[in-house]
Amino acid sequence: MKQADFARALIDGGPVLGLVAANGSDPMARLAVYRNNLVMTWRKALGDQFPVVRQLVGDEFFAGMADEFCSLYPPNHPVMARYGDMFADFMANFAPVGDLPYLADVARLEYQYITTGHAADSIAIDPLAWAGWLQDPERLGASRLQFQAGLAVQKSPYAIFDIWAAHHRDDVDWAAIAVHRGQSVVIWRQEWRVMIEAIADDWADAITALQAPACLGETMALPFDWQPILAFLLERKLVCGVDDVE
Amino acid sequence: MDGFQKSVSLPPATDKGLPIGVGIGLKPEYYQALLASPAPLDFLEIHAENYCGDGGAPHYFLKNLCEHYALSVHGVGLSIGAQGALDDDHLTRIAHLLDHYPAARFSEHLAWSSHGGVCFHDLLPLAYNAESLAQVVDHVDQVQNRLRRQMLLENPSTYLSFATSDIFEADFITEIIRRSGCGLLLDVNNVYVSAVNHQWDAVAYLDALPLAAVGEIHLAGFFEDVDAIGDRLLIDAHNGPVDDQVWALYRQVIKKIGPKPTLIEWDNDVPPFDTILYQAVLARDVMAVTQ
Repeated sequence: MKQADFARALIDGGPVLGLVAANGSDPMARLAVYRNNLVMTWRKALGDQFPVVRQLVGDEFFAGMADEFCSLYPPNHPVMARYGDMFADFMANFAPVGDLPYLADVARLEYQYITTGHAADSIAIDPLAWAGWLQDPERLGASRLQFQAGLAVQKSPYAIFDIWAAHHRDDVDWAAIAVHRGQSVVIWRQEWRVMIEAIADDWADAITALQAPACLGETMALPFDWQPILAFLLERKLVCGVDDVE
Repeated sequence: MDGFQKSVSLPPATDKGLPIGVGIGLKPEYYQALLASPAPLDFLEIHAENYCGDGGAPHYFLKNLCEHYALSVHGVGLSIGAQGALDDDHLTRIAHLLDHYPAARFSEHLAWSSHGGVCFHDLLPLAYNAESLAQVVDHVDQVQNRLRRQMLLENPSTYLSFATSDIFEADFITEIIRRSGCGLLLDVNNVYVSAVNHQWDAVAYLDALPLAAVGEIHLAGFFEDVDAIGDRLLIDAHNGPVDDQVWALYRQVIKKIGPKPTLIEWDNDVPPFDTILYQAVLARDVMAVTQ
């Protein structure tokens, strides 16, 4: 028996030669136990990673959609928390959820939540060190800010923050959510807790610009209201250092 | 048995083993309870793959818990029973994890879980013959050499066997242990599940194993199913308390080899903390009264 044949049968449900059940029963029925375990494990993994998507479409529909996704993009990493990076893109093109156009962006937010949750721990820049940098604007302008590893922003034409937050509360007032009102969010970590906050769209653009490779002087020439944005990042301890650009 | 690849010599063991006592499989649901007050547990066991991220909650809690409990690291994704090569990147991940935590033990399964780039996240069965034996021994050697420690290999629970198998599972495991110098993680639930599913005599199976090599014991619950002709088919579901039949086998094992580090696994339908703790207390009681 080649494991390749067994592996193929697990995915496509086809027959495999050379399997034996000691009591003479149909070995394919026993193979079905492995196949069922596999389907349930993958489904549960996606359901755990994307709880809001699961609630939005319902458990039964989610199971079918997950099965379809898993057959196209089976897990390729031994760490299950990595699974689902393609799920949002898959849903964006999955016709049966065409009437839920916000679903893919909600999935992106949920996957980022997982990614941020597992990101490396970071230590905020020492306030004295930061004060020192502020004394030397020329050198600071030629440098780049280092951010917490888990920091990410997401912009969406849909109310992703309201949808996400509604599913983390018991008292959901769906009527109050204007689904088509675009929202931007920032995702970060406070110690081990993942935090999500709604922010203005131009703040999301500004934070994205700060994370780009350009030096700070160049970035800060962009027309954003920088003072409150930098205060926001420093207050949340998201600035972890300054890279001297030689 | 001539002509088999000879195992390379083993580097000195870097672990002293787990404390003789009881432990539970660590679940995020238990983080707060375990930190709130000391539990009557000697060790905790993690699935290595759940702690392969760079940071965040898993590491925050595990670092704290390691100050109070010994740690067993249990891999579920190395695919030691695979016909293909080991995933070197994953072995590096495990080595990194073991470098950063004071793990008293590392264990893995006699099973495969990935093939052709697909990770099944399940423990799949292999045929037991000369060819697979040489392959598994080679993989165990690679793991032990890379991790610079002895590993424990866990006996599997299976639902099927293979026409190409010509070695009894217990003899297969015995030979892996003899050639590689690894230890045995004796999963008593798996012994019972496989004995029922393959119409083996569980006691004869245990008698055929080198029980002196046992470094840890696993206990868990199974799910009762039936196969195509209505015979009992037990599924290693880890979703309930330890069955009476498994407790009976466990008592026999303890009577034979004395108290061993014993873990309660309950991975699905995770119960309240007190419920799993009670299972651990029962195991401790068995060790206390069975001498």
